[in-house]
Amino acid sequence: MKKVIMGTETAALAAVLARVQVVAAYPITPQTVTVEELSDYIGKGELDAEYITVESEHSAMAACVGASATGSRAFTATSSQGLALMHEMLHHAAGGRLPIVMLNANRALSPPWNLYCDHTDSLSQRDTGWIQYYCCDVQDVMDSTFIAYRVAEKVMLPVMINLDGFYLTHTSEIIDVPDQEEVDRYLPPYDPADKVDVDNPSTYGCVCGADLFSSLKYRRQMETLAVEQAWQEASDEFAAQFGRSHAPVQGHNLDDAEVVIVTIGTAGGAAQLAADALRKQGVAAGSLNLAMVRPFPHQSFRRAVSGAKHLVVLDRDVSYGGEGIVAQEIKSCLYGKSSAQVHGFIAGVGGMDITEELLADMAREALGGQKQGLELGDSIWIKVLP
Amino acid sequence: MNSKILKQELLAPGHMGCPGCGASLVMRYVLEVLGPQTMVVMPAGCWPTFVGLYPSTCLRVPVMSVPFATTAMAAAGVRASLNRQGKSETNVLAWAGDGGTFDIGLQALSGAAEKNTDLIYVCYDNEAYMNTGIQRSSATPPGCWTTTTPASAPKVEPKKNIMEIMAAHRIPYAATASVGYPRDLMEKVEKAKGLKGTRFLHILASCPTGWRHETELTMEVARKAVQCRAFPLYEVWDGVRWSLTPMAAKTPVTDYLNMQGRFKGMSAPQREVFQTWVDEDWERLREKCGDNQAA
Amino acid sequence: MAKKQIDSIMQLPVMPLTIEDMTWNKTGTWRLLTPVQQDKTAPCRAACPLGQPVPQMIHQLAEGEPAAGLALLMAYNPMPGVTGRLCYHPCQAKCLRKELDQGIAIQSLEKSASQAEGAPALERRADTGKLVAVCGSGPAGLAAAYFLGLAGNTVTVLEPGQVAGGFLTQAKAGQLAPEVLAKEIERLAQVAGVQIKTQAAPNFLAGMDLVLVDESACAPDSAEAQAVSALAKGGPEPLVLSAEGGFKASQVAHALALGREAANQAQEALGLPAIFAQPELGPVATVDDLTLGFFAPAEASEQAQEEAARCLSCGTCNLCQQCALSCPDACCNLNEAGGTIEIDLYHCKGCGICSYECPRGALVMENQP
Repeated sequence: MKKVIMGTETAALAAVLARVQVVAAYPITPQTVTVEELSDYIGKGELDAEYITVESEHSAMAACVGASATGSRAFTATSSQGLALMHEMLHHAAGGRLPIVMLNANRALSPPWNLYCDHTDSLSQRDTGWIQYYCCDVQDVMDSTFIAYRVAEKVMLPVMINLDGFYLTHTSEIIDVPDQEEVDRYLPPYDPADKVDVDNPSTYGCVCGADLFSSLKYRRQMETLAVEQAWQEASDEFAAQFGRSHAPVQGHNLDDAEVVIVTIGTAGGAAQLAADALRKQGVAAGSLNLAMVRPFPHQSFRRAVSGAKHLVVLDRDVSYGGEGIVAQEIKSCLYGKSSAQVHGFIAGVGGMDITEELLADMAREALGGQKQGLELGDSIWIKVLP
Repeated sequence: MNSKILKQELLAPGHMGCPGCGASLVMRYVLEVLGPQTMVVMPAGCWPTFVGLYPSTCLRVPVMSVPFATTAMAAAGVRASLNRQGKSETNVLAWAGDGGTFDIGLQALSGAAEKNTDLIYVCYDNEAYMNTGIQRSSATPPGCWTTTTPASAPKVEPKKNIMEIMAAHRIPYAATASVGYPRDLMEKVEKAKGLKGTRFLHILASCPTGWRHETELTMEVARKAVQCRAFPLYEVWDGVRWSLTPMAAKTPVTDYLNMQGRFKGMSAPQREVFQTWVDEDWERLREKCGDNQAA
Repeated sequence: MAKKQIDSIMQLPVMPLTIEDMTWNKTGTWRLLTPVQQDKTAPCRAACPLGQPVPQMIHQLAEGEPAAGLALLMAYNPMPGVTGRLCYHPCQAKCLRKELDQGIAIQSLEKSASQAEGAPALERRADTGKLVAVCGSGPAGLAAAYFLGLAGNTVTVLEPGQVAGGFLTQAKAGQLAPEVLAKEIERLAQVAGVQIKTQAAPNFLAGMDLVLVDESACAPDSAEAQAVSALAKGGPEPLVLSAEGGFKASQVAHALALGREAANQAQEALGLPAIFAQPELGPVATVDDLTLGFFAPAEASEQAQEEAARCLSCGTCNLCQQCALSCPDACCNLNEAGGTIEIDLYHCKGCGICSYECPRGALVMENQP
């Protein structure tokens, strides 16, 4: 069924179709519509779930942990400050091997106070062990929720689905909303082998000695790295049923591309247009939407950029004292495996618009053209005052 | 006299609690009443430190060890999950120390209580952050030695009145109990078990390690606390009806203070402050209870 | 109790869940002192001339089991219905309940136990084939006969008079009714398998292996003394029971004790093992061994079970399980089959709460492994 629907409304509808069982969420701009709509869906009986109106994001994740560990499909949503407040709980949920799915609306972290699109919030949580997926359009929001639960419940790891604040949360598009029966075929009920349960009592998360602790971490890393493949398979199965795929790495015109514009989130659309414009001017350009940042999809990424000479990387974030996080991740992925040059640009932080023209200019600069911004360390900062 | 006085065997020996641990006794009593259909949610504190060494545990009920500030809300998530599964009769037991209740866990507790979340919350109060090395909490009595309220920087604030805070949330049932009076403790758990909504039990759990008394006196010191009214026994129904539990006649605080090394360095003026705090709180409590004695 | 062997991390659940309990952890190595269940002597028992197991008997009455209480007494005392009426009850003078409110009416409880239906089935040793005669049926003689009967000997009591009982038949009006005395004697004879012949004449002693003569309550050279010793003529050299000054009625327990001791001497003379021995008990319990605060004040009662419930069971474990209730490590438990308190020494940390909480001082902390 076709529907004109906004990013945050879509996330709520996806949670309904995914038959989530416990929702515990705290409102924060720009995610509020999701939590509001979910309370209405549940109140009207359209979603058979328990809704906990928590008093903070830290408690929201705590409630999701309690629900998920005891065998219920749990969902929450947050952004920036709330995500940061949850930080301890993010480590816990991933370490606890709990398949919680969370919407994160990417927004700048204060001070000063800025409510607009910025990726530092989720990217600075990349060490917590959550699977991180970045949606590029509203259909992606709908579909990735189902893939997320399917993967999460198979590998027993939580998934953060990121939506660009305002650009995606508050944009409406025409999308295909699948029927409940179709979703049920793709996503079976949550039936974990492990759970905290009176019928088989055990203690979850008690003190652990160094020997077993490091072994548990080894296993967790092993199973997290395997998610690149697991997500790809789930995406292929989704494509087989629904005709749309949402792979960890989504390339556009990469086969003979010498310069590739790499972005995460909604900038992917503008990056495609920029690459097409460059092609018209005779530049062998392509674009790469890096949908999955954790685990970093090493295999897929290296394959996708194997022929490229220049990677133009957009970071709507920065790791202070380091560089743009996406650029850093890419350099780490390609170390010793590629001779491509990585050009890191910091732009679009705090809600500054990313346009097709800006991305094309960044690509031209990378190829020796006019300088677009200020060089600082290993990054070029766009549209900042000196 | 032919059957065991405690019938449930939900706590097995071999745990790493200090010899004479009052908190361990409190768990035995509470589980005796609640039984095996109970899920325990406990934050950082003494209990999760000694409950087990992965992959072994001393409890025969399911337990979740959760981050420090989250107890009541993690328990709320468990409750929502169980209700969805049609298991609303399974007890959800939130189990935190005074640190995890009065201080770092207070927000989550208020959040859960305000919604009358269906759970039993037990605060096992040993009056300091014992697990991390006896640092003060807002439950530490005035003048009491802890590692962060040494003689050079004593605690002047009175013990935070957590029961008044819980009463303000208008929860169906709140009660104080002492590990020194197990039968009264278990009766109160029984009353809590028969109700729905947020039920709060503030239980004094003496600690030989932190209170500096002989290990054999765990129950005796917890009785003396009640007798001198440093920890009186009472119940609050729906946040508005207060009633006293029958107790032995009130004694001066001297015997209680003299039993414990944590009060040894108190000066005479500090002892007076302690006695005054006890007396004033007792008078306020009596006024709230009026003629109400426990049914 | 063994810890599971883990060779691969994949053996463990994906979620950090435990798979076994902590009982493998030998926390017993932590302790410096070990709790030992060791009864002390209750002061009432210490004062009793017969050393009867007073707290245990009272416990049975409190449980509504007078027959069980009677059985306990009759292992020490053939005629609790007599002592329960005549004895000067030194037990009551030592009763520690006085420190709380009123002392226990112990003698009255002894009497109650004696009124239980039927006779207890006490263990009688196998038939020794020895024939024993006891001349004189006063309490000392009857006690000697009783214990010799329990020892498996074939015992006959010879009483010159018409009624058995010795000086007990002279009890003051209202103190010991003749029918009560008769029933007590009948019961002790039934329990010990003893024959009692009244109006006995000499010449019953043919083939006797041992003869006892009870002159203990008779004045020297009195008619009674002569009648009793006459019965022994013609038999082997008798073992004589005597007591300087005789016995007042209120001293009946001492007479019974004399007879019980004589039975042991008789066993020795017969080349048989002793029939009676007091169990080894700890020192006499004092008020310091008790936790008076544990007991609620209660009015003395005329009703036996209610009065019995007031007994503090000083120094004597009555399975109240305050110890089991007070163990933080679930190491102190009632062994239901054995009816004893068991300490799990593999895990016991030696904190001592159980010992402190025992209201009667029957659990002590010892310096032992």
